[in-house]
Amino acid sequence: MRVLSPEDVDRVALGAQFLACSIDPTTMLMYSDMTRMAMTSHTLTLASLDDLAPDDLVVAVGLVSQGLLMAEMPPCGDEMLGCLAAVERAVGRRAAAIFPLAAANLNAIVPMLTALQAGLPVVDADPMGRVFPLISQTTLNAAGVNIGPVALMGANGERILIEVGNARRAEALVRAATEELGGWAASAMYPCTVSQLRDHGVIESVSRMITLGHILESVEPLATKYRKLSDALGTSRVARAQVAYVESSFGPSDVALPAQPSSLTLSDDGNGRIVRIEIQNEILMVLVDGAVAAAVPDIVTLIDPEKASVVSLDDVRVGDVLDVLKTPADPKWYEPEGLALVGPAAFGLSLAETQP
Amino acid sequence: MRAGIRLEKDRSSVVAVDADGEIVGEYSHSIGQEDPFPELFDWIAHRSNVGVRSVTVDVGGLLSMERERQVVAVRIRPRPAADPLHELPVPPDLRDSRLTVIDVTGGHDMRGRRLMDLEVASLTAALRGISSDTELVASVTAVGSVANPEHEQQAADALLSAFPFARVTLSNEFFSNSFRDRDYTAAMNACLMSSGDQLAAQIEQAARVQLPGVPVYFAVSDGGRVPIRRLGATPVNALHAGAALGLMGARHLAAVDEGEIVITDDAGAQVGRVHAGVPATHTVIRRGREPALACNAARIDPYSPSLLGEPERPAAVVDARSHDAVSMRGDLESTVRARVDLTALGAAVAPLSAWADFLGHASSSDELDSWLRATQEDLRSQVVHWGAAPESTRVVESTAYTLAYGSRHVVRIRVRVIGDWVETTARAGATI
Repeated sequence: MRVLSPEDVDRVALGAQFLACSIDPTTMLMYSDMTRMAMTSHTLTLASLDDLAPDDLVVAVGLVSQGLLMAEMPPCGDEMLGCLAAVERAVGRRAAAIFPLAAANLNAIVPMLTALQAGLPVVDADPMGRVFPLISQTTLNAAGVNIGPVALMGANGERILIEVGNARRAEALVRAATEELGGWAASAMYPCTVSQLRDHGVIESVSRMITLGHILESVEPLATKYRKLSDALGTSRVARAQVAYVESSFGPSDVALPAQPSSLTLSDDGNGRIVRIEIQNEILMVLVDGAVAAAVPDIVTLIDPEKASVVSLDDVRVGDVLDVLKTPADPKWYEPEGLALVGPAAFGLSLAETQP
Repeated sequence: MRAGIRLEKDRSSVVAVDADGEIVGEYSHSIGQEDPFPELFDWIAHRSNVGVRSVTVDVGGLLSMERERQVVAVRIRPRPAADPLHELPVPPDLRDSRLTVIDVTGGHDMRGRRLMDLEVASLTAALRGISSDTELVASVTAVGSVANPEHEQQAADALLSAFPFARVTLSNEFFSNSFRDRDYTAAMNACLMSSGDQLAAQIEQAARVQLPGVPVYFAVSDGGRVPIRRLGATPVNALHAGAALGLMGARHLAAVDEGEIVITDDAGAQVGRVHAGVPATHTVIRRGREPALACNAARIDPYSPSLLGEPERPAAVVDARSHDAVSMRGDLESTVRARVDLTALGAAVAPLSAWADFLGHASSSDELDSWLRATQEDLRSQVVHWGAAPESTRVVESTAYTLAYGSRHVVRIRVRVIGDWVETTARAGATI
């Protein structure tokens, strides 16, 4: 077990923002502060899967959003523990540890505080290795690990236990329930054994965020940071360009994703290239002069080169100059089972039509 | 002629520009008396043989926080915090105020649907604990109020029933989808209202005597200006206008409408981006780990070329050092030397600026286009009503986008219209 420091929590937060696009910076800061405060009286431990017994129960905890940022309706503090207890009751076992529902964005940091509240370690693994919009888009689901039972609790105190096996059905039920709970819900799901998580999860994903945070927090020139990101994660820069348009579209979609698609169009002043970024909750695809430069499951990050900080999609404005970075996702996602769940076609995008 | 006034605690500067944007006069002196405006307006009145078209005042340095009156912050959300860790702390800059926080059950979701009924009775009971002869200023923040302000309005009604002369700020006047940031912004605004009222009264009185009929404005944090009569209602928008005006002044001297402008002064170097002739903006002013201020504000950061991945050439480097003995960064080469107070110049050339930022419901592109067009026209009317010539108005931002993980068909619409914009032709006061 590794004891995490308050600085590690900040690094997790930085790394978590790099691996996501739609960041809620207020809640990220609030959770970081609350976690650091809780660490003054409790120890936060990061467990490798080898630290736990193969049959130990581990449970994913995280937020599900449908309609509202957590920042708009701050948590009361008992939601995550309520969900964890509900799943433990349903499966008849106590969890030995918890793991993040996604090792990115808020779902990377929320389990830190939950672990402190519950007196449990956080496992250095997760089922996404980044964040995807749907709770069915996990390596655990791709391997056939059961998502249910799923426990939800909203900030208004209402609780729901969904006894479900099929992840797509779980997605539909959870999404509908979350909207009625106010727009976000605390959740616990994917109760599984340590062996299952070891075989089918994305391993050492929390450590990776700490490494990322180390790189991003340094005062080195951005070029040096980019070199380190390339060495550590295979990150490459797709373009530096200026935002020309921000658009929403209302085209028909067969894909049950939250929110409608939107697009950013950027122009690269240096060489006249046109960069188009397709978004639906997360960045799904980047086109440069019509050619695919990145597409899900690739991780796309927007960086403000003046401040060397990650830019949230909500903060992008016409006229902004952005660096567009591409980082490969976990190799599991590029296998056929992974691509079926999170490849471009899973988001209703046809790569064939976008090739030049 | 247009005049811009920069006010600090002990000093004032005035810059006047003519209709072509040329600098025609400047004036600076220390402030000794309680009310500096008669003297400043007298100087402006005697400066020009032609009519004074507008006066814009940067009052950010003179606004002061409420210390006398009782301040009440009403927070409406579905449930109170379950443990001390999850309680929203009072931000440090409000801790010296006589601030009482009242938590009330209520709130809406982003579709505007009620999550919980508003517990008016508990608010009324809490207000009974405050002496009825207290002069009260208050802020009200409800979960989901940007989608449905019903509970904030009901709480304001309850406040005004108990304290008929209370000044109340509702958080939905400031767009942010963060409860904490809106709560802070509304409370700050409430704490600044008395000061804003007093300054507005002094400025209007001086203008009536010295410059009768001349429209007077105050500068806001996006680098624009709005009528002075609004200062008492939304003083928080004036709090951080200075930096934005400095960028507007630098942009005017450097004749740059697009690109990065570096300003070096005695305190160091800062960089801001100008887009379409006005500062590029953030929707909030972030303050490290503390709550952000939900005001549209110019994006200005400390200049640090070491962060850049490759050499980037700013569009202009404006040297505003008070004298050459102040050292300048070795990696910067001045392109314009400022001989005037950039903030006062920025105030003189600041355009009228109106924003709309709200959540709308649209289920088709046509519907969205209609929203945008209607919003643009509303803002054009507003800016014309404030004094702009209709042909001088233009849309500098018009976007509509879905919120990630948001409800389907809920879109955030942001439009900015400016008017009475000054071309960047000034050269007086600048040397190259």
